[in-house]
Amino acid sequence: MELSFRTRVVMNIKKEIPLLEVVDLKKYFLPTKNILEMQVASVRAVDGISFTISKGETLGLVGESGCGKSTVAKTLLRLIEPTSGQVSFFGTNLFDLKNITMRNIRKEMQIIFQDPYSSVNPARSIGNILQEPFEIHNCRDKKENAEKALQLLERVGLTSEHFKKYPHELSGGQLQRVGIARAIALNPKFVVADEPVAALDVSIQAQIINLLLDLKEELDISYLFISHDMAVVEYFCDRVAVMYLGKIVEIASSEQIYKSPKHPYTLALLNAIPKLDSGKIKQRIPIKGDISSPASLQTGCAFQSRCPIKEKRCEEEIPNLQESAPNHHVACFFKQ
Amino acid sequence: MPLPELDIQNLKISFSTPKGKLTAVNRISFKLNKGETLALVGESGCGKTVSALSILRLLPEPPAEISSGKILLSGQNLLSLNAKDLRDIRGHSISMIFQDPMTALNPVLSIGEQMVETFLRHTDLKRKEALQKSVDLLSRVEIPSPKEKLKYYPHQLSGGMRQRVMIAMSLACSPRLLIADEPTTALDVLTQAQILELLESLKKENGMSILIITHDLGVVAEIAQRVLIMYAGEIVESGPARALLDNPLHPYTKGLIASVPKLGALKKLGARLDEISGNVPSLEQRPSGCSFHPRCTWAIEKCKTQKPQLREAEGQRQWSCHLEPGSL
Repeated sequence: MELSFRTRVVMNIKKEIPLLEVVDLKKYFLPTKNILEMQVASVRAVDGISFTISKGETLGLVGESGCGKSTVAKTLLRLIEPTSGQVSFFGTNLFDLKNITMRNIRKEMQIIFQDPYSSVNPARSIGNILQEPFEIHNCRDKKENAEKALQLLERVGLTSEHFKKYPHELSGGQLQRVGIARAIALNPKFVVADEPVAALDVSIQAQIINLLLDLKEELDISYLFISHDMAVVEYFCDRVAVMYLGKIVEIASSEQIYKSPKHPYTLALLNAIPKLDSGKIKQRIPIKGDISSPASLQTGCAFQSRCPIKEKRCEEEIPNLQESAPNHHVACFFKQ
Repeated sequence: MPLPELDIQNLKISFSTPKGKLTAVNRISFKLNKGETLALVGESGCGKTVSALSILRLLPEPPAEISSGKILLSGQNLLSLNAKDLRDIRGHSISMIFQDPMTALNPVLSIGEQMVETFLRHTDLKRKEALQKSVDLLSRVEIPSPKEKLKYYPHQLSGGMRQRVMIAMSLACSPRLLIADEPTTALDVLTQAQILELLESLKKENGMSILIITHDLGVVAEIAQRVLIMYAGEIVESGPARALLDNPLHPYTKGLIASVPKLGALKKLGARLDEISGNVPSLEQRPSGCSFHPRCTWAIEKCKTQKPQLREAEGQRQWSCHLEPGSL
């Protein structure tokens, strides 16, 4: 007899199998010939990354726009198909699953998007939006669904007043709460939060971060928290992975990353954040130029064109991610 | 006392809408001195962008209406100028850079074409000289191989490069005042740091004044000398940047500063960020009394009915709150 996914989850939790294990994940957007029959280079959006997330843990994924963070998120949930690699969720490889089984597993893994306005259907009421997850997952009792949707609204700090409203009648912060409510509707074990506060006002950001923290404790959710804001990530995450052009260049616990960053890129990111407090005169690391296009092929380290400590070796060899301190992995030949 | 570069007095801006006349900016006054960087801070909908656009008269009138006040540029009231005189000022004495450089640049014209336009409009330069000047400007904002870049179209440049082009264009006629509306919001942190440094060094070279509009207090700490905090169309606090950030007087300022996660602040297990509850009030539902009272932790009965006036505090600071400074 085949065991239900939930039963297997419970069994695997006891065996201490990590919640999520990503091995050598790649997503290339393959070359297509354009109308002029010119060969267009393939884009290595995600180029062989590996990490694990344990139960109850929050992993931060940091990097500039274009580094592939969102592609990782979408590939993990199989919203887009990977080029190669493996993603095991409680020991089950997601890429082997048929669509119908995958749909069942999506109950356990959800996503919150950056822009709350474009991630909900503008023509449906809030109540309607929140009932949809239940309808999709075979709860046909309308009254019960409506009740659950109401509870969700209250759980995320909204009221029954919002039930009949439409997305355009809500502010960005309120709508992001709806996005969160929808994500937690089916009690997922794992939630990907893709820049959940980047589009919100400062005073609202703190509210949403606090809400996500509360839910984590209450519902025992593990997060993959994607952000470009190092300060928010420090606040929210247990471990942090720094991405640059499709690769993880450094991964370690929050404390290690912020106290002793080893990759020059991590250091530059930390230094670039404008700081509120006076006193500290900071030493800026001069990082010139922009992130290069993932379509441009180059040999050696991807960061070499902007790196302040570049040497000959960096142009020829690609540095691998290596453990330089316990549980602190860095991909740099000349780490700090 | 020398005349301030920009002196805004009692400015009120309202919009005619189907719901009636709504006031976006309610009688604000501030001065920007020569060579100073002034930051206008607030959340979306507080009226900061509307105030900035009104300086260049870029608001569509109607529905917008500047119902009272004066905007003085070195003593000259911009509100009394006709359309032609205004065009002479735009891009010449005052120029502006916008949040999203992609929408601010014309996508179907090359960078060179767009840059030359400013010179041809405001100076007697010939096309060839203007092109040469454009190359100089592009290299001043540290764009590599500027001559080739003139032939590029906006979509061929990265966000940071586009913003540099915008800055280069705004500097074309050495303006006295640069208005920067969220110039780094759409950019990555590393690019943001580069752009802020660039603005700083250009200001030193040209001796221009900068009015920077932002919601990011980190940016304020980085480049501004003075700050204005806006809430619901009004200035609720103003003062020298350092003093204001270290010791905020208004509950809203205090809340804003507390709600920013600070790098390196020791994270306690289960710790929560200090948040300001509630939402930014919309234009049609401005609260009575002090507009911040529904979200204020310290609100007293008086705050619901009586609007607090701006008060002076030591060290050239102003704030509007019924409570005494020590009581927060």
